[in-house]
Amino acid sequence: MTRERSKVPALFRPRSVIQAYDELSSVLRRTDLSDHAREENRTQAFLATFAAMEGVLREDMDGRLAAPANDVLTGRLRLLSNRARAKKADVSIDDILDAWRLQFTQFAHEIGKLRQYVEYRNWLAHGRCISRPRSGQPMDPHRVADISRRIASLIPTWPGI
Amino acid sequence: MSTMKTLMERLEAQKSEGSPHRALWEEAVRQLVDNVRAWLKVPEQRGLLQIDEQPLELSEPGLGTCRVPGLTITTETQTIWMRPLGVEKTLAGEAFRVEIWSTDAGFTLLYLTDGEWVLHDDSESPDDWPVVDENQFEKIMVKLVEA
Repeated sequence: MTRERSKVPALFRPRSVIQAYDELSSVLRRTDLSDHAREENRTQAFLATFAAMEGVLREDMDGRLAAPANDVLTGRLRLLSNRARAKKADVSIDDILDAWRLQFTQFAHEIGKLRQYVEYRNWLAHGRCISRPRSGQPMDPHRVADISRRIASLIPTWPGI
Repeated sequence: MSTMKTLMERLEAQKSEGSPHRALWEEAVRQLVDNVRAWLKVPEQRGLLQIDEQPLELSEPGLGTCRVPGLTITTETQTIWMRPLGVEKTLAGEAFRVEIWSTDAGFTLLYLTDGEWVLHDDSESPDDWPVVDENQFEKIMVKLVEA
C-alpha cells in the first residue's frame, strides 16, 4: 500500500525527526527537571524516534515494491505486501523488522531489540489504557536513533521517495 | 601493567556459555540445508532449478555470532529464499526459526530441542506441527512454485 508522502515538508521527514529528537533528548537530559518530567521526556522521545524509524522503513518498503529488484528483503516485503493486501490490511512493523533481520543477519540482534519494543510503543501510542507490556521501560531514545541511523545508512535512495 | 586477565576470563566464560547452544543451532541449520540440497538433487541435475548457498553470520543475544547457511533456489518463474531468522520463544518452547518463501507464499520452519525440524502452523498445537521430511518439504516446494 503506497502512501502519498511527497508533500511532507523536509523538517517533518522521518530522518529529520530522528535527528531532532536525538538532539532534544540530549539537551533535556542536562536540564533541571523533576524525575517524572525527565522520565516522561524520555518516553516521548522514544515514541517519536520509534515512529520516525517506522516511517523510514515504510518509505523504503514503498521504494522497494515499486522497483524491479529481486533481493532477499524485497522478495520478503513483496510476500508481506501480497498477504496484507489479501486481508485489506497494512504490513505490520513486526513483519517489516523481521524482513530486515532476514536480509541483514549481522544486525539481527539490534533489529530484534527494536522488535521487542513494538508492544511497548503500541501501549504508549494508544494512551496507556491497556495493561502495560512486559518490555517495561522505554528503550533509550539515543539507542533507537543510533539503530535507526544504521538502518537508514543501508537504505538506497528510491526515485520519487 | 594490566594484562586484561580479568576481562579476558569474563569474555572467555561468556563465550563458552553461549557455544553449546550456538553449536546446536549451527549444526541443525547445516543439517536442514544439507537435507534440502539432497532432496532437490534430482530436479537440480535435470536443470529444473538452481540452488545457491550463502554463508551468513547471524548475531544472537546470549549466543554471539552464529555461522549458518542460507539458500536461494531459482526456478524458471520463481525465486525462493531460505534464511535463518534466529532463536524465538514458541508454544513448544525455545526454537530456532528458519523462513522459506517466494513472493506469494511463505513457511516457517522451527527446530525444537527434540532434534527435529517442524513446519510451524499457528492454528494447530505444537504436537500437530508436521516434521519436515522429504515428503513434507516437497509439499512446501509445490506450494512455493505454484504460488
